[in-house]
Amino acid sequence: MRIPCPYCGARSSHEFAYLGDAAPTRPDPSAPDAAEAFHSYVYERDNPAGPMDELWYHSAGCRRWLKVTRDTRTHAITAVAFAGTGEGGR
Amino acid sequence: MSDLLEHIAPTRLVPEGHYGPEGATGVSARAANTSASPLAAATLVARKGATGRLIVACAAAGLPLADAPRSSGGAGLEAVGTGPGRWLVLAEGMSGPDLVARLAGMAQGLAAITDQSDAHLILDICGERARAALEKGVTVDLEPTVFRAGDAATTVVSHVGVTFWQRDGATYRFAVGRSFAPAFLRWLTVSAAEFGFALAGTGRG
Amino acid sequence: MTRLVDGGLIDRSRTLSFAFDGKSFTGHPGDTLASALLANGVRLMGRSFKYHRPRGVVTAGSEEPNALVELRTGARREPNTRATTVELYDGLEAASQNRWPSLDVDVLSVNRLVSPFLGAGFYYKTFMWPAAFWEKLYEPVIRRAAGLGRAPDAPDPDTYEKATAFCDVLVIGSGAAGLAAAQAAGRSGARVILAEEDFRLGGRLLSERAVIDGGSALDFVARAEAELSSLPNVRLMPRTTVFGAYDGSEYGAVERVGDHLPAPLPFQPRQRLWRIVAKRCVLAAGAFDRPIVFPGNDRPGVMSALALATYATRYGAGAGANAAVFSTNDHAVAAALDAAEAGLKLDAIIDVRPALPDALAARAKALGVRVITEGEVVATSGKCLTSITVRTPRGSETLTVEALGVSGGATPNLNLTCHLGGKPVWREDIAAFVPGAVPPGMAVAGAAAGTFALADCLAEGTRLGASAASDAGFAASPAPAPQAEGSPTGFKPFFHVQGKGSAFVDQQNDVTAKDVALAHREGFRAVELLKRYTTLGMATDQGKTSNMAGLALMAELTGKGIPATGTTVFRPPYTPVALGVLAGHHRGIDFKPARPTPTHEWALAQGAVFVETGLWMRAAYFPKPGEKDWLESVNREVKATREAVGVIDVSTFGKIDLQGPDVGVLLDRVYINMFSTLAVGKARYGVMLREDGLVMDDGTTARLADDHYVMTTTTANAAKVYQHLEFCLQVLWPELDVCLASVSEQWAQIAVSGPRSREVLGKIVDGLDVSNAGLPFMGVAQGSVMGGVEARIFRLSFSGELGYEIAVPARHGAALMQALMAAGAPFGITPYGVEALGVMRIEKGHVSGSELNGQTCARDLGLAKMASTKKDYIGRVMAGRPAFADPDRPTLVGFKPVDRAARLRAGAHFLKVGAAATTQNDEGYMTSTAFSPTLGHFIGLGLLKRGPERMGEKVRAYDPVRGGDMEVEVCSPAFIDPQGEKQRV
Repeated sequence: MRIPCPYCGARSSHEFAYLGDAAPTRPDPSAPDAAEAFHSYVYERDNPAGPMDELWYHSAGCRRWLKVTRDTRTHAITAVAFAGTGEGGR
Repeated sequence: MSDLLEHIAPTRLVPEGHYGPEGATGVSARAANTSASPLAAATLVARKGATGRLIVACAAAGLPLADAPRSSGGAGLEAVGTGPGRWLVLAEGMSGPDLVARLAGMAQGLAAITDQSDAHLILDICGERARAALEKGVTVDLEPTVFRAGDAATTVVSHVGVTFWQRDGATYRFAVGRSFAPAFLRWLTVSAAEFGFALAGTGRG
Repeated sequence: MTRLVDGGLIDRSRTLSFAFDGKSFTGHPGDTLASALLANGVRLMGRSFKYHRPRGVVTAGSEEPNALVELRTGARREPNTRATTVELYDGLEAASQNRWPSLDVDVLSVNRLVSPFLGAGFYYKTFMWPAAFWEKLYEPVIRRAAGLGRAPDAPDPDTYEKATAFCDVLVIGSGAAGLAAAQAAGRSGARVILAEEDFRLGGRLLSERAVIDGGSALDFVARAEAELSSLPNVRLMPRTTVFGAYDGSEYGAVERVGDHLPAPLPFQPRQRLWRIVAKRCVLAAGAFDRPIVFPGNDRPGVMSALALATYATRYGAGAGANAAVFSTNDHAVAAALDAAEAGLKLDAIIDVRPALPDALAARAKALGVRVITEGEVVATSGKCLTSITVRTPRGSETLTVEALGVSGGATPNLNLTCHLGGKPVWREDIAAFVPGAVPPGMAVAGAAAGTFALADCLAEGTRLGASAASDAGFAASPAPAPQAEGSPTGFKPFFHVQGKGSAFVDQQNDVTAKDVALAHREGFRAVELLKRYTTLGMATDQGKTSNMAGLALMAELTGKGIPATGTTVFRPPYTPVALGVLAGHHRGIDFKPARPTPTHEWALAQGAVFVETGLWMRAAYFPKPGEKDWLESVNREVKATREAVGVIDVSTFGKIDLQGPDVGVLLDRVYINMFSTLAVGKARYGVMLREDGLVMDDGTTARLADDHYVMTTTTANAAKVYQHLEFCLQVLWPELDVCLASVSEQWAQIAVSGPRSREVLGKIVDGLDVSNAGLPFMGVAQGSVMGGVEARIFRLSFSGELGYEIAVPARHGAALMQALMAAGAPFGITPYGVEALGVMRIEKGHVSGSELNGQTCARDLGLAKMASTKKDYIGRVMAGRPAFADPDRPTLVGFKPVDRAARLRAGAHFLKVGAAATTQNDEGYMTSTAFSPTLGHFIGLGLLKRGPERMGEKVRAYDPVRGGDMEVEVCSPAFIDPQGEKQRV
């Protein structure tokens, strides 16, 4: 599989580390329901059959975290962007 | 393991010499940062939101930077894009701290600068069959119409992380982590040997 | 000898000698082992897997199920090599497999007599018998009887490589469709790779008498090859099998660089693994000749009709002194007639149909070949074939022939189209499965797509080659396709002759028509179940020729029809791939990179014994002459360090440079303790958690300037921590202004420990004040050492002694070590390795990898008191889970054996004294142990339920794996200097 890195270009998936679903965001640690929210953030994941936004880290390349839209049924990658700011974090 | 490397400790740089069929030299490699000719290196990392301003500041000081996997030269420095807002900068005939000071002057507080003069083996690889040897480990397309002079890549070769760039039509310059240099040279030597491989600058072993 | 008088693509001017089962033969360049054996009249080439039936070659390609040999001898011996793909070279040695004592007389062929017991489901049924029967009786017998070749018993002397190639259009197969596709794509300027499994381009065109563009098929192949070779954008890869299609338009292929030679050429690999990244792919892999299941169809001499023809036309080898063909289709009849024209003595064509097309009938007549219509072969005889019995509505007769070519039609070779999950679809008009959904970017041309007529193959190849190039961004000029005469493609679907006697469906696995019927009776009717139950379609050929017949038979039995019966899934690899080529360069000491520390050569010169820690090679200990074992060396190193001074290279720690105004904020959020308040010139030990509240890593971070810190991580987690920090900065808190750079390779770092370490340090610094006041515990000094070498000096202690870590640019690492050794010589400075380092940290109760094992929280390790309550940090919320605060959780304490002479072992589990060794009674386990030379006995660290409340209690340390069972005493994990006074002096 090859992932088109927005900085480096298309690279073998071997150069990347996979984290998983890009949807969960870190909850407010001071909120009254923080314990439940963190439990969900850390453990609860959907497992969709179809397009999914995922976090991948280009560990052997530009060391950017990427948001990769991948179809879990076909591994087809339809979009890749820098995670976070969308500008490479710089 | 091949017979070629059987008697060379895996922790040592492959010694300089000729490997492969006699009379043929399809691939040559030379260590560029030897103790005889040191090469200073530093990482230049743009501060948050400062990439554009840093590029302007460095250009004004004579060093054009591309925010892309490209190499560029100016003011006696060679800069290579390794990630968004990140460069590896090399300089000949300068010490690491001198290079850091020089870059700090250029960057005007817009970047973090870190001496990396001891972090790499810098290896220049050239020769008619250099691409044929490199494709045995490089998983980036090196076709000249695709990877052109000045293009750079940070990638992994034979389990070793590297940054390399094409300096001119003929030479690829590789920056390999110091502790990975023996493994990288072992891979390069067995890969290039069939074309005849001349290795220089790595000492006599 | 059955070598035909002339013809064939072999070089008769040169003779090659080879040996099969010790007997010498000759052949010619251009031969395969199979063709050379046939030309020498050798028809018996192996014994079958289960029944040890005599078997001969049945194909002329990689789909071969029978003619598997052990090729070469000694360390290069390779089992299960298909004789049909082995190129003959001078001096080749091969041996038949699966026979004893000889191929000709095989004792175990009596298995045939007990075949009623070895039928479908044999393994499953036998397993149900008493286990003792299996172990003592059946398994040894089966091991002996079944099995293919023998693996070599010496290491492989050859080398292998892996390479990556990129192209716009990958063409797989170089028959008519493939060559046409490569030409069309190549002419557009697209980068084309043409991969061909054979050693020669041309596919079926090498075996057939066709007319293309007014000339012979061979002329067309030669012209196409010449043109493609002349194009700089085309790479021809013969001897290359594309074995798999993968995600992202990647293909796996094996190039047999040196397999056609006695040994690979110097400096060349035996095989090369290619990862081919192709924007588009044209699959032109052709088709398999489909067998017909009939009684006696496995006798040596019975083979595919197209193979029979190929041996005659391409290799000038007769498969027997005379031959007949049993066919259902025009293509096979035409090929048989080609063979007759090439000099094969073809006595008869037996066709199931009522008549042949006029043109073929006329050709047969002209060649004097008898045509028997509405005929079926119902029996064969001879150890190697001597005669066949033919049944027609008009009666039966026996023909005396040595070879029988059989063709039940064409099965498109669509394996690669299925590798990403595509399912073949049935085409009734050609009675064959054709590609359904194909991998993205792939198009299928020619016989692989069910397009059989030569003219159509050429046209389809041209069209799909051009469109592949244009899809990849190249304007293909609409050049006309090569023209060929029409070739008849008539056929009748026919799979199975009814009759008595063993009729084999899968010759490689000895699966008969009866076995399929048995599977049906017993309910294993779905094709995937049929495969597992009977083993049909398994082993080295993966049923390339047998699957179709098997599922046709099942369809017949269920009455459901073939499309409803379906076909099994084809997976990579298409043909077997040697593990060596998958490993490539990475074998033996090159299995993974070996990272030397900056002082590696120095340590080597000191006689260090090394240990791999991750990829690093670190000195484990430094034995001295006269020391009887490692423990004696380690004890000496520990004592010398605790009593005077020791030195160790700690460059392997991960080191991360952090700069920017928000570093303190970041560190406060990733460590459980505070770092924003750390003074410049100070260092602090920190613990970081994962978001789930478990400990991720620990290390020391120093503040070099207001906005500049340097972090150390454990050796093992260097890359992981860097990735974590980038996650924090890019994903969680992109507003933070922090710049990271790994400086692990830039700095060599050497720890000097022991009461005399300050005196040693004082001798090498350039005027730095290293007194207790000038550089207090956890202080950091920046300056220079050894007369001008930039240095950072951290006053840290892992050993518990007064200690420093000195960092210098890596090129000076060895010089620093030598300077320290010289400066420390008067004090008896002693280099120590990671073994002594481990002993000293256990003596001090410092946690390490065995405790930071991904299952422990800070409280488990006695580190909870470090956690700041004034801020949030990663893992804080989840670390507050009730389970993590449960006092019953195993918690870090120290252990001493009650019998002080006893040896403790990590991994032992704790039980209350007198409690039975059950899971319910488990109270934790020992994580680290060492012999403490300071205390004179073994000590251990471990996680014990309510450990800190149980000081002085005796518990049982139970280690059944190594037979350990002893009482140990619970104590503080800090065995020496619990107040930490020594490191502060």
